[in-house]
Amino acid sequence: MTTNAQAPLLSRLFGRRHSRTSPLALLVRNRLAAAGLVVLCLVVFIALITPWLPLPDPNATQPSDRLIPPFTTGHWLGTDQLGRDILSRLLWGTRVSLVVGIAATLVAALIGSTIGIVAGYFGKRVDSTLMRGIDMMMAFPYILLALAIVAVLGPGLLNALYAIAIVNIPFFARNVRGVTVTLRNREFVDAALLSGKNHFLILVTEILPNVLPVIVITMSTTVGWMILETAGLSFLGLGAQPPQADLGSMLGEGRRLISTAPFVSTVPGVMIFILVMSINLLGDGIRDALDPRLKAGALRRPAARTRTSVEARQASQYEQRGVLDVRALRTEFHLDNQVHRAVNGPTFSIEAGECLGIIGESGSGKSVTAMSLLGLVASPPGMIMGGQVNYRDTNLLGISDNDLRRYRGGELAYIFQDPLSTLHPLFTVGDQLVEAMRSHYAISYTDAWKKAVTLLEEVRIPNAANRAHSYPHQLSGGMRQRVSIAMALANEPKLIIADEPTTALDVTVQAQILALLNRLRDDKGASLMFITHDFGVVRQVCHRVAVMYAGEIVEIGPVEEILAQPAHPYTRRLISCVPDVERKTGKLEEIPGLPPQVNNLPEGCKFADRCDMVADQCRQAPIELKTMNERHQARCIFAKEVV
Amino acid sequence: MTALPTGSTMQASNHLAVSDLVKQFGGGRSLIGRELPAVHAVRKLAFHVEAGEILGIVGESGCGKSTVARMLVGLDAPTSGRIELGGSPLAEPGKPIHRRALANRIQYVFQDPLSSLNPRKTIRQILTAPLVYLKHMDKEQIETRLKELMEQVNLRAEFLSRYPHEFSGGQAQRIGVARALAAEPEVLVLDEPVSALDVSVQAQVLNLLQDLRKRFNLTYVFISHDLGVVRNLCDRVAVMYFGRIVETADTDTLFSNPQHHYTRLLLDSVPGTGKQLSVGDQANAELPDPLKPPPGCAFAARCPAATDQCRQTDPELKGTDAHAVACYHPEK
Repeated sequence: MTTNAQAPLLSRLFGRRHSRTSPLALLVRNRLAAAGLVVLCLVVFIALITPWLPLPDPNATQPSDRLIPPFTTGHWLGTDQLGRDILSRLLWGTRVSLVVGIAATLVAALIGSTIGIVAGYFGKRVDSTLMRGIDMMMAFPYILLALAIVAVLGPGLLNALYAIAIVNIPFFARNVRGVTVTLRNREFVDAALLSGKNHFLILVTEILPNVLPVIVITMSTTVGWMILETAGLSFLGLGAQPPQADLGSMLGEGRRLISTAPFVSTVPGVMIFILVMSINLLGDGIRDALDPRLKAGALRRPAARTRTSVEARQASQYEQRGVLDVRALRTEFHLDNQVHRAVNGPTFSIEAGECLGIIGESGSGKSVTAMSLLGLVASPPGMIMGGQVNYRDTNLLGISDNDLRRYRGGELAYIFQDPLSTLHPLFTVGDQLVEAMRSHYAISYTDAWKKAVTLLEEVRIPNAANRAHSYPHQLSGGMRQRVSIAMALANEPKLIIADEPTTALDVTVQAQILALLNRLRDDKGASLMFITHDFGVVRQVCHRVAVMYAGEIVEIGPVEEILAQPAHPYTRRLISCVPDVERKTGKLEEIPGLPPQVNNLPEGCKFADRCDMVADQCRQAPIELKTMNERHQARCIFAKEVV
Repeated sequence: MTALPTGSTMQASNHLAVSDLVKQFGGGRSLIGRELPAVHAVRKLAFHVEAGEILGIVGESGCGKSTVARMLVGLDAPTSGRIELGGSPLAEPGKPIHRRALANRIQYVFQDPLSSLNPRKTIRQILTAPLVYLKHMDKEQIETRLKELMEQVNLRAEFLSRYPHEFSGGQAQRIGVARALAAEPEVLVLDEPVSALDVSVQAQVLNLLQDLRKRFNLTYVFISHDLGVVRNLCDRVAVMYFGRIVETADTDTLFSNPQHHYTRLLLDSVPGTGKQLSVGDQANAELPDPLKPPPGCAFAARCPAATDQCRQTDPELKGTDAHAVACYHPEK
C-alpha cells in the first residue's frame, strides 16, 4: 500500500473544494530556491543597470596598467593582460552571457515545444516523422553537434546562440510531447472538438495552457546549462569575438595567465558559478512547485504506519465484543493549517463469521475508517486522534510496529477496489501469493507455491496451476480480483476487510465475486467487513450494515430491518434515490445539496442542511445514537417517529 | 467493402438510424505489406431511435458501447456503415465527417465530468466555445444564452466565473450537460453520464435529464451499465455483447421477458433484488478475443443453451421493432 494508491482517496476527500497553494508561495517556502531567486535577481539587476554605472569602457586597453591586482583603487577587480578593467568587463560580459543564454533558451523552447505539441497532438505519422528527426539530433554527441553547427556558420556570438538553441530543441520536444500525448486523450479535448473548435484552436487554447508549466519547468532547468554552453563555446573561441567580453571568453583569455595572475580567470569563473548555481537552485524550486507529479506527493514518504496520538495509544482496556471492536475512532488529516475530520467516532463490532457492511457516499469516511484499523492511512497528512481498535483483547492502535506487521495480511487481511494497482506488475501472481505467505510463516518456496495453487483453485480460477505463472496484466479484472481474494486468504484470516471490492467490475463478474465471498465466509468462518456504496450489494452479502455520513455512523442494524424500515432520514432518502431495477418509479427522489465539508463540520446533526425534517434542536448539539431495539440504532432525534 | 443497403430500407419516421455499422481499430497493412491485427470493436450494428425517444444501450465493459457513442457524434469514423439523422446521412462510407455540421445536431455528454472540463478554463470560457464556433453568436446573445443555459441545468449564474475543480461531481456533470445543450442539438448521446456520481447526486442528474427531454423534445441515446438507471429512464433498450446488439425491446418487455440468455444473465446478476443470485462463483466470464472474433455467437461459450449451430454461425437479430433477439434458442 503506497501513497499512490491513496492519492485518489485523498483527492476525493479534499480535492474538489480544496484551494491550491499558489506556486509562488511554494517556491518561497523552499529556502534554497528562494536564495537562488534572490542571488539571481541581484545579478540580473546589476547586469541591467551596468550601462549607467560609472565604469571604464570594458574594451579600452591601457598597456601601462597591465595585470593590476584586485582591490586597487580605480580597478576593484584588477585589470587583464591588456590593461582592461576586469570589473567592467565582468559586468558587461555577464550581460552578454545572460542575454545569449536566455535568448537561446527561448528559441529552443519555442521551436522544441512547437514540435513536441504538434507531434503529441496529431500522433501517428506526424509524430513518427517529427520525433525520428529529433532522435537523429540526439544521436550526435551534444557539444560536437554545437561545434559542428558553429563550424558551418562560422564563429560569432549569434551563431553560438543558434547552435546552442538547436542542440537543446530535443529536450523541449520530448518533454512537451510526452505531456501532450496524455492531454490528447483527456476528454476535454474531445469536448472542444464537439464545441466546434478546430485543431489549431484546440492546440493553442486547450492544450497549450496545460503544457505551459512543463515548458516553464524545462526552461528553468536548462537555462543554466545553456549559459554554461555559451561560455564553453566562447572559451573555445567560437562564441564572443575579441574585443567583446563574455564570461566564457574572459575565462579563455585568462587561462594562459593562470599561474602568474590567477584572478583574471578566477573572477569570471566565480561569476559563472554564482549565476548557474542560483539559476539551478531556482529551477529546481520551480520544478518542485509546478510539477504535478511532485505535487501529488510522489516525494512525500509516508510513515510505515499512521501517526497515532498518545491518548489513542494508551487507551485503557475493557471487555471486548466480537472479533473486532472499534470504539469512537477519530482520524483527521492535517493539511495547510486546516483539520479535515474524516472519521468522527464510529463505534461498531463484528462477530465471528459475520459480515458487516459499511455503506456511504464518497467522502463519508468509510475507506479511511477501514484503513485506520491497521494504521494504513498515509501519514502525513493522516493522524489517528483517538478511539480504540480492539482485536483479541489488544488495542491495535497501541501495539508495536512489528506486532502490527504480523496482523497486516495475516489475521486481518484487506481486499482493495482496484486489483491492478494493488498487485505488483512485475511478479507473477503465484510469486506474490508465495511472498504473502512467506512473510508470515517459515515455509519453503515449493510448499508455498503448492499452497498458492490451491488458493487459486479455491477462488475458482480455472487452470490454476498454469494461471499462477501469469502476470497481473494478463488476467481480466474479475480474475485479478480473485487473485487479491486468494492473497487475503493466504494466511487464514479471521477478518477480511473488503474496500469496494466489486465496484470496478462488471455486473455479471460482480455477482460471481459476491457469491465467492459468501461461500468463502461460510467455509472458513472468517468475518467480513464490506465497504460499498451499493445497497444491492449490502443486501446480497451482509448481515448487518452501518450507514456512514460525514465520518459518523448515522444508523446501524440488521440489513433487512434497515432496508425495510430505515430510522434515519438520510438512510431513508439514500435508499429511495436508487433506481429500482424491478419497476419503473417515474421521478426519482433526490437529496438536495451536498454533504458538509469535513474541514468545516456543523456542531449538531451533519445531515441537517439537507434534511426535510430538520428542527432547531437538530443544530444545537451533537446528536447521540438512539437505540431502536437491541441491535438497531440511529443518530436522529426523530428516529422513532420516522419508522 | 461490399455494397451497403441504401437508406430506403429505413423508415422516414426514424430520427436517428444506424445500419451495418462496423468499427475496427488497427488493421490494414504494415509498410512491408504484412497484415496487422485488427480489434473488432463494433460488428455490423443496426438500430434506430425515434424522435423524442430514449434508447438505452446496455452492456459490460469492452462490449463496444462507448465506441458506438463516439461514432454517433463523429469523434471516431466508422470503418463502414451508415449513420443517418432525420433522413440525411451523418456518416457514409468513404466520405469525411463534417464535425461542425454534426455537432450542431448531435451532442455528447461525457462519463467523467471533471476530466471533460479543461482545468485551466472557467465555466464561462467552456460554455462560450460552442456558442461562438457552432452558433456564431455575438457578445450580447452569448451573455443571454449563458444565463439561460445555467438556469436550464439548475446552476447559479455566478458559477460561470469559477474553475472546474471548484465543483462537485454532480455540478460538473450538469455543466457538461449545459455544454451539450449549448448547440441546441436534436440528439444527445450520453455515455455513462451518472456512473461516476454518488447515488444521491445521480438522482439529481437523472431527473434533470428527464425534464430537459420533455422541455426541448430531445432524443437521447443513453449508454449505461446500470440496469436500474436504464429501467427508470429509457423507453427502449438495446443489449450489446461483444460489439453486437443481441437483444432489443421496449424497456418493460425486456426487463419482464428477456429472451437472450445474456440479457437473462445480466438481469440475474443485479445484486439485492431479493432473489438469490442464480450465477455460481465459477469464473467463466471471459469475453472472446477481440482480435479473433469467433465465427458463431460470441456468447456461446458462456451460454447454457448453446448448440453446435451457435458455435458455427452467428445468429442475426430477428423480430419486430417491439422485441428482437439474436439467438437460435431464445428463452420462452
